[in-house]
Amino acid sequence: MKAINNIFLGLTLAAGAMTFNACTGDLDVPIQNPNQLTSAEFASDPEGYLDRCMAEIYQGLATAGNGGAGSSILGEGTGGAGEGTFTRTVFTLEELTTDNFSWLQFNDAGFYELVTQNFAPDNLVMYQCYSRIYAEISICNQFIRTVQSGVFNLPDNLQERAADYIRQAKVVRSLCYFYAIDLFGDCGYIDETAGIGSTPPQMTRQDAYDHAVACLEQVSAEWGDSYVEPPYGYVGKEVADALLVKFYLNAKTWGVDKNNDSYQKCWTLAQKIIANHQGEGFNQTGLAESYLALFGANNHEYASCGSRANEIIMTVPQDGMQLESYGGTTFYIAAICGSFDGISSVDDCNLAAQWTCMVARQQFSEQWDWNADGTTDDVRASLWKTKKDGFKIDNMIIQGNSGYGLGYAPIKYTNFAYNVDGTVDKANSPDGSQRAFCDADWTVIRLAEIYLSAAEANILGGAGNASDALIYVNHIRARAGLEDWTSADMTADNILTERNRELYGENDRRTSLVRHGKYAGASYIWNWKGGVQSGAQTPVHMNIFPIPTKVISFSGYHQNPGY
Amino acid sequence: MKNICFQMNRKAWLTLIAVVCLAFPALAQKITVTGTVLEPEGEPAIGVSVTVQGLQGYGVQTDIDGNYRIEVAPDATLVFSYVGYEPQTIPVNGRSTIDVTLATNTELLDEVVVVGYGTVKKSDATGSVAVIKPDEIEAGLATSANDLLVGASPGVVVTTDGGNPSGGASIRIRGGASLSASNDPLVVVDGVPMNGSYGAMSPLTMIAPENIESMTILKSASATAIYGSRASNGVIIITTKKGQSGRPQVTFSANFHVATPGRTWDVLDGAQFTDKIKTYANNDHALGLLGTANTDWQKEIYRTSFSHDYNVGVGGKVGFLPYRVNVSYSGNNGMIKTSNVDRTTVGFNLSPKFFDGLLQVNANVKGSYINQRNPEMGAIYSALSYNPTLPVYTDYATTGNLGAPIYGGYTSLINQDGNLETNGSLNPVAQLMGRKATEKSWSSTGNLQIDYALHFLPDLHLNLNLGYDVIKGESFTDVYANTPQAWNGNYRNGAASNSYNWQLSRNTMLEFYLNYKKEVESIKSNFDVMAGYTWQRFDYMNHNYSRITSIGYTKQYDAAANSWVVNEDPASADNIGFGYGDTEEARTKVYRDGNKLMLLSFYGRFNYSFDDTYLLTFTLRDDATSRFSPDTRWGLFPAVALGWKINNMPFFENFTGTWDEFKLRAEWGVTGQQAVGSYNNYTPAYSISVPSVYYPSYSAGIAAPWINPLYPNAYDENLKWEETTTWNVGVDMAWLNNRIAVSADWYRRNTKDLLATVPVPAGMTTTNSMTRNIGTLRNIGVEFNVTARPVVTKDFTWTLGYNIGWNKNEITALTGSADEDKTFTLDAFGNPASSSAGPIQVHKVGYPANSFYTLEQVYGPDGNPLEGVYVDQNGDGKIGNEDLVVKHSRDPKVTMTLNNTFNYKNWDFGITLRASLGNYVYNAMRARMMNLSGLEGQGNILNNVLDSDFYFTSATGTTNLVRSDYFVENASFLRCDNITVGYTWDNLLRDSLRLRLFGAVQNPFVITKYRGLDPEVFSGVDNNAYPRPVTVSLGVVATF
Repeated sequence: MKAINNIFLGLTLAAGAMTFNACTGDLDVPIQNPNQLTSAEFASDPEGYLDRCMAEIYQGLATAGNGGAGSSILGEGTGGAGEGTFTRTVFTLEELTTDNFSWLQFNDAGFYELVTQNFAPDNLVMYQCYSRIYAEISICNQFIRTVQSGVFNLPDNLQERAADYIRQAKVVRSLCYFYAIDLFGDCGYIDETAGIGSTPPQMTRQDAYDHAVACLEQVSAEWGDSYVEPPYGYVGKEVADALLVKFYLNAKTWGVDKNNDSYQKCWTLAQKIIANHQGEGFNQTGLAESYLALFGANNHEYASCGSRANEIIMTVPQDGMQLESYGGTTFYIAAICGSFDGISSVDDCNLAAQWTCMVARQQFSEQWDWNADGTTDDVRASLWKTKKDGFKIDNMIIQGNSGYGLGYAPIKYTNFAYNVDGTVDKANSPDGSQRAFCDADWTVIRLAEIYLSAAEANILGGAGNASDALIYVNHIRARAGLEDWTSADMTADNILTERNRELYGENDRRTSLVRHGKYAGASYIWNWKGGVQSGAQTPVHMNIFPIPTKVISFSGYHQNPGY
Repeated sequence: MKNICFQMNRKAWLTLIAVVCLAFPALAQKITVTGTVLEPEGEPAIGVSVTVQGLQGYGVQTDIDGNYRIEVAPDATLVFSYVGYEPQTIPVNGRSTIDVTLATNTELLDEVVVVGYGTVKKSDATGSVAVIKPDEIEAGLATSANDLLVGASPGVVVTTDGGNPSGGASIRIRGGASLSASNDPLVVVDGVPMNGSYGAMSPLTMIAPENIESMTILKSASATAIYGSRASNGVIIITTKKGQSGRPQVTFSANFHVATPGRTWDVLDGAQFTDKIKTYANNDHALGLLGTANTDWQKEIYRTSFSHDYNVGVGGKVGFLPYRVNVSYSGNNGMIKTSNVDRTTVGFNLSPKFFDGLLQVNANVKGSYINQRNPEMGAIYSALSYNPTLPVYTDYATTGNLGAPIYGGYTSLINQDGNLETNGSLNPVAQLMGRKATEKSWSSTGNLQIDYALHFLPDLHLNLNLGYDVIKGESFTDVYANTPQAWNGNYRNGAASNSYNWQLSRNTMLEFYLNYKKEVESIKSNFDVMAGYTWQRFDYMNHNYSRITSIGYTKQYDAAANSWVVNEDPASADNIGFGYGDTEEARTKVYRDGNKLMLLSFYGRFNYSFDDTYLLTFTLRDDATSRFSPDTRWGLFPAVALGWKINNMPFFENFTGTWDEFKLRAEWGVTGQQAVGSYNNYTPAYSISVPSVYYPSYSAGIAAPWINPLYPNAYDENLKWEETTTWNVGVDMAWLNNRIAVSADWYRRNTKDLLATVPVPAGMTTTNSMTRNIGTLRNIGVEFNVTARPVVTKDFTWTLGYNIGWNKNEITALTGSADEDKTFTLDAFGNPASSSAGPIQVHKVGYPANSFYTLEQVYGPDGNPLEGVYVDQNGDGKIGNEDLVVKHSRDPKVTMTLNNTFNYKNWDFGITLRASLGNYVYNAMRARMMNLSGLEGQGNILNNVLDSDFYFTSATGTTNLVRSDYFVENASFLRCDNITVGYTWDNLLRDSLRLRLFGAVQNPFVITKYRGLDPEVFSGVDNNAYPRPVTVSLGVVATF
């Protein structure tokens, strides 16, 4: 009917005077796609739309796109959509380029160069990571601008929530800048004050750091003095402070510690966070009773507002039905599992996805105290497939696809629900044989990291006091089922290894190796580093990744030294 | 293959002879008629054929003095025919002397060409236009109108989609003018500019070839400019057949086709494969995956297919009302098992005239229904790479109440836990048989065109055209229970599932124009002025869902006994009717999509001719699209063309009689392009997350409801029209009463503000690529066309058509990068052999669009590539992306077509040859299947390789290997499109039946150096291509 009306309308108009303006009004076609809307609708339900715009910031960390797990908001040079998920693309640079993990498929484009630490600016995987980080930064900026534009027409009772959301957006943005500064050095920096569509100016690492840290410190101050638990899946003051701990711990290494006080700030802030958690969980430390339960299908119970000890300070929620992703925990489990390697993902991880493409490297496997039969007393590696399962410790011939059990399989995340004591809660576990996507959330920052960072600030920078530092480390070791260290054990090398045993796979390894001068260069060699099976040294400029070619070419940046 | 062809022809022969014998008429009493035939100028006409109407094969020719003598029945009717002249039909009426003066056949020169919003005499056309009038054989052989365009005109390159019965095709007129924006020409059917392709439907597959009266291809700017906004890539105007005056005339045709895959890939057989595994992957894991069978998987998925089509058309006039109705059906079976397309089309046309022709009404309604089953195309590659030592079926030991072997009995790769290995492809036969993907499309297009010449001013026409074009499609994909696909599905429990998609696409149009034609003899001038307005609305919507349709199973696997216990899972009954991951909300809200686009245009055209010698056309069009922001949405597109009919100059009179046409044309014009990206690129919009990617809401506690986040889309307020400026110079000539006609064109097309989807600075917006105006592109080309009748005798005529086109495409600027340097490349096509190996085709300044971007392979003394050795272009001692070079492109530089038709008495014989030079193809199949290190795949997979004398062996460095220019092959070819033989009975059953029978072989041979199955690959990347068949056809056409 409408079409006919339009025809008659058009007929009248055409046959008549061809009144120009009337005809051309048809050209203002509003967005008709039912899967899209414009900000014009926001004022009709300020709370609902405000919440949904905010949720996008978090969803941007969990999935590649909002059209389902296979979609991606990135259009250019992204390979498979899942590869561009935030957690996974960071993992690729933070973990696969280290002694921790290796990729079985050397012929997956770009991966061989990552696995062997042979970085070049045109590596697509790096471009993907850079793009994802900055798309997320853009989403945060866009959100802040939108709220500030007044388009939500917020009533008074929502003003405070909006202000809090802006702070949250800044915290998530700071997480992005943490990786951008750490991975790429002199990176672009842009916040909500820049005009829409402007190219981020390239900053020195120092300037980018100063901006990011100042923003976090300010947001933390705005939240007041005490920690209030934000809802599950959201961030608050504690995440801001925990991120600051990460920034401070690395400031010296990054050469941005202008006042030479970063280790001290790291210690002080860590103490504050630790104090906030004391009184619950493992030995009243705030840590979860069981390490394994932190990585199971019900690990949201350890996150903010969870019913158990809230060890997980920042989480990226995932859900096998509601929040599907080829990144995060699904990626971690599926990449390791595959019956070709003797690991049935359903039996061992309770997830029906198996890709058979990732293993532990020999040097990583050797960081554990293995019993003769291939078991270990360290809870943190208790799920691993090792010699006891017929796996080899080395990855002599991991190139390509041939061979069997090439390297231990470092199972950590699973899709089983766990009881508090670390036993599997079969009854409440999802039916893994029917799950293609994992329910376990990805842990971004845990209290355990704060303990270890404080200890490290003491060891590397003399911050705080050594006795507390030793206690912190021994909390971690005790939960893992290991003997306490003495003060003599508190060396830089030892803390680096202990940190890895605790945090492996949590996107920290490269950063920590760089902090200890063991990433690029000759001081630490692992197999396949430098492109040979036994390992070789690499140029030290590899401590920072190159700015991707497409970024140089479209943003006009200068390249990092050495590339 | 050849045998089938031969048998067919013999059958045809037998039928033919039988019919001829039966129909041969008896001879009656005769008289002798004599006379002289003169040419219009009074000269004797030599060799004029004098035949008797209704008497087949009987006739004489005039002698050197133009005299003839023939014995005929006193009531016979003589027909005098001579090439280039109107045939004359004269009843004898008992006379013994009949003299005749021939009249010049003006049909060729006065042929009317349908151009935008009107017609023009071909001799008066100032633009570059080509007209195709398909004959019965051409129509009979064509699966769709696409096929009629193949080789029809220089500069028109049509690449059909192999043997795919869906009949898709890519058409490029004078090279693509765009990068990311559409390069498809605009198709106008009976005055309705159509939507682009939608689902299974494209405008050209909706129309039965038999029903096409003519197709006009507008190539140059002044011809296309009148269609402005959508005409940058040329226009194809299709006019369907109309009713003629007189008694009803019925045309019936039937065609039968047998198609076989021309070639298949040569892969290792079971024994060779076993041998290779034992040599190159000699480990327990790989050896354990070997079977003992010898399966030719390609044989298992292909078949010889039979197709048939029928067409009936009835045209005539009832009272004042000319009408034409046609119905056609085609049942087209593809060569891949399970593939099938059934198409029914109906058309109805009324073309009455009122008030002594002052008011002309033309009403068209066409409808078509396509019901097709789409095969899983992935089976093509699977059939090449799947382990040949495995049998098609395995009787897996299965107990429980499933009552059948698990995995449907299709041999599958099974893991230690009894689950399917998911890293490789499924059994190719299971891929086809385990599911049924059907697609039903209904489409209709129609229009009502009213042309009214004012009573008081008949030179002024008012023309109103209301048109619509609607396509509705539904597709159902059923995955059968207990197939590998079902066990591999989301629930992984063997349950059957169905996914459904519904889509609707509409286009409604109103156009109105005024046309004033005036001849002012006093100043020897002809004016033809037109001004009009068009309003077009396009919208589409679709929705889809997927549902579990049967109960699932539990399975237990006993690895030692290699047996399963499979039982129905009562709990899974709850899943039936719902999709995987459905929330309560999603169950009621299926995913929907839709959008709307508006186009408005004002246009005018001024045609002027002086003394029928000097021609001028000026066109101006102002277009607007709702796709761009108010500031940029209007585009103004002018065009000017000049023509000089030298043959009408006074000094040319000396040549009159031998030189019929000599016309020069020159034109300049601008056209626009807006078909890029989504329907609205300038409004800040938010995308709503789909149910599987929700997020917990901001409220305390884990049990918080999940909400659907809103993603802020990237947008560009500055996006504007892409503009193509065309220069065209051409000449048309004809001699000897049009026995030889030649036309030649030179053109240059510059496109600026190219619309393309390109990377943007990271952090600038919420993604890393956007549609922007980014550069300039140039096409230069030369086209030459000749039609001739080298031999014309009484019994034998040879008609020849030859065309050749040369086109050079070059990107002249790319902006948008910070430095805009010359080293900058834009990705065009990712490398299919390795998902993220970077682009195999790029756009780069100074090179054709879609050029290959490869490493230069170094070869050993034996001529084989040296593995991992490439030319180190920058001499830095290592091979990296800096060593990639831009070389060759997918587009042909030269295309040629040669048509030959030989008529001997009532026989006709035709052969069409087509050549393409300078087109390159990346042979992705070889890139994927020549590496022995890939024999043992990821997971429990063994991959077959090509049967080759040479293999690559290294597992590392394959990123470089797949970018070796070794795989970029020259795919120039000479193809025989078809060979046809036909016989016509003009006057059967007392002159009331015309019958024509023909046989044909399509694609009998192709000569090429390309090492893949077929060199014609539109994308330039040969990957999973549907093989092109060799088809034997038999057709019959009856007119009565």
